[in-house]
Amino acid sequence: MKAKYLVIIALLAATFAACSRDEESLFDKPAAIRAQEAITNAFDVLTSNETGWEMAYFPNLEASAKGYNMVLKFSKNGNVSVTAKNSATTNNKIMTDSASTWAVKSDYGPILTFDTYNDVFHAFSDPKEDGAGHLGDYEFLILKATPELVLLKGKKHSAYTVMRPMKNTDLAAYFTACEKMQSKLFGNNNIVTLTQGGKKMYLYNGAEGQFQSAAYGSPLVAEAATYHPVCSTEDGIIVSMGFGEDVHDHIFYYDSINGELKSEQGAVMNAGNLNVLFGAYFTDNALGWAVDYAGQEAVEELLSAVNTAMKNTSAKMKVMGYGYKQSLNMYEGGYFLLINFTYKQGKKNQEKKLVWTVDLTQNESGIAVANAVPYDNNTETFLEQIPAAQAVADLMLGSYSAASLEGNLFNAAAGMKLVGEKELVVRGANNIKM
Amino acid sequence: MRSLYKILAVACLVLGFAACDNEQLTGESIFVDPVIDTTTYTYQFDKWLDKYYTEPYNVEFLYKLDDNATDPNYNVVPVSIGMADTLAHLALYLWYDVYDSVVGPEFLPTYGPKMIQLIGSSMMDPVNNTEKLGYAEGGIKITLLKINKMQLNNIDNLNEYIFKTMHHEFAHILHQQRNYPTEFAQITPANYDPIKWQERTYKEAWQLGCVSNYGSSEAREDFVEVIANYIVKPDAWWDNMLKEAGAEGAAIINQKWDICNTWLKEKWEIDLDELRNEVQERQKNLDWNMIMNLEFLNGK
Repeated sequence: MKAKYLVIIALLAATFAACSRDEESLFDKPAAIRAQEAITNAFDVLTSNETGWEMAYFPNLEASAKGYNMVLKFSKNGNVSVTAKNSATTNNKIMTDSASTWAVKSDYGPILTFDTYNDVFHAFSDPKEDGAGHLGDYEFLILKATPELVLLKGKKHSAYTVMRPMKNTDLAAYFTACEKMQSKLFGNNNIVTLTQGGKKMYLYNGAEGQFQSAAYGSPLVAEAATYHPVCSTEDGIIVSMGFGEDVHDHIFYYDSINGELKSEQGAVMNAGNLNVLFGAYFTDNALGWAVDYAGQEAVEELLSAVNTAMKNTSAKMKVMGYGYKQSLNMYEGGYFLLINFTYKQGKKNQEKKLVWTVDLTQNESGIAVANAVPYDNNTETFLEQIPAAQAVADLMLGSYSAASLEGNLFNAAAGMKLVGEKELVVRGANNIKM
Repeated sequence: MRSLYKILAVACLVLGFAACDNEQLTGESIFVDPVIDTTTYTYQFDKWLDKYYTEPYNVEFLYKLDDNATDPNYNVVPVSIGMADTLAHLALYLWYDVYDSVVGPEFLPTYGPKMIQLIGSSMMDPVNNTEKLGYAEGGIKITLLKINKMQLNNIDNLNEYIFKTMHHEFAHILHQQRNYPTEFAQITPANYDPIKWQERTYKEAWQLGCVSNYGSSEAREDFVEVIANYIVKPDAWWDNMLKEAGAEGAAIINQKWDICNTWLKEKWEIDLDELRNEVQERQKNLDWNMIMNLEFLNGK
């Protein structure tokens, strides 16, 4: 009898145990229904926008990858029109192909597929002769589909691609505006400081579809750079991978008043601390600052004195005019001040390159330049003949705080002000030769 | 009492299972295809494919690419609708209608592939310097590659990259259903090199007794290359091959041809020469208007 009770108890236990999976579901609908809804939603979102979608397309995650602008129009009948303009696939001409198809289908999530060949779109996924081509995807996992934003992830090559509703109905004007943003933000040696979640980094050397990054405050050495694909848009930039480990701030809007880019998640790209940036610009590969004394009265007086001294010390030297270049740069770890005197001797243009070492310290609160000491025999000999030239070098010495020049926060070539007892303008310079 | 226990036990079991059935399956499919109705962009082409392929030959013509259906080791792109349309017409002209005429209208619906998949690009392997132009799977599916690159006015290009591939893959479909003679593989077993065949020139392959360098990779490829090349290549090409192969190479190739010819006749009741003559006649007459208007079907 006991055994029978045990059997009944065991069966009852099993009965109630069988009910234990009747827990409240995390989701309000079965998986199949949710999958179907996701597909229907994506289809509706993509087709409900009559002006089409701006796509920031990123083929893959390789270091050489770039970002490309495309404009897409999805029709409910399964037709898609794709327009692009870039140097990689359209020879910088606006090109459209409207004779292919698209679909949203189910795989391991809702998938956007471009399932027949489109001359414009598939130019990035065509394997070409090397079996790789641009290594782009034509099937994408749809991570997000709202009327404001569609976020895709390439199924094979894993890059994130972003779509937003097109605002501009004039395609030519759209691509021109994107190119202007590109050159405004990344042209001419621009350097941007990205501040995101308490972390900072430099972005620089922007070219079509790509820029480099370096650790904040470190020299901008190309060899150590990491490459980032970027799409410049009408209103800012879109990046594929974001810059944080877990943070994907894909979209940065350009704020023309403050001259900076901001993401909705709070990341900011701007000139950052210019005192720090001033230091980062010194590298062994001849990036430095050209000092602009043009129009400064004190300089004119000094140069006049140098000119007089040159006339007096050499019977053979007949100075007809003069000019000079001055630059600060770093070489083999030290800081140097270079001054090139150019003058006329007879009918010949002559040049004298003088070099001083300087002590340069720089941190977030300021810049100090001290102790201009002649570096080589050439400089010492010249200074013995014309001691007044030392005063031109000493003009650079002092304590400064870096400030932006009006109108451009980013552009090293446009320069920055060094404000101290005197005020100097310095501009980013390449290939400063010792 | 005993029966009460039984009743209780059964009741518990019933309750136990009943507790598990409270999630209803719905009849709704999780798959939604936005392009299935008559308003779709490709409706006319889909209707045409249905009429000329699915209805008569029981074959699904897959031109919209599903990446899952490709080899993930390769990067590929879909075929363009225009090239898919052209290829579909061309395959009717040089393949399906040929078998209808030469072998009989029941042959392809019975033994032909059930799926034809088109891919726009080839599958390039830059490391081994090889290019895959087609493949056949399980006796039911043929995939034709590089369709976007068809040079419609270049007969040699079409012959090498498209027509030959069609007949090559179809020969695979046939031997995947009825094995080719084992003696074929015994003729030149030492000459097959599945790794470095691409380093051989055609002439080197001919001298080894194979009709192409790819044919020298392995026996089953050799077998279908004999059939495909014989069908699509003109007399001058075949004669030159036998000449360049030298006496020994030519003898081997002829021996292989005999086996292929006999196998097709005995296993499939296909007359290889008759098939070849029909294909060659049609290849000589690549009148695109005639092909695209299906005039060769004579109103079928």
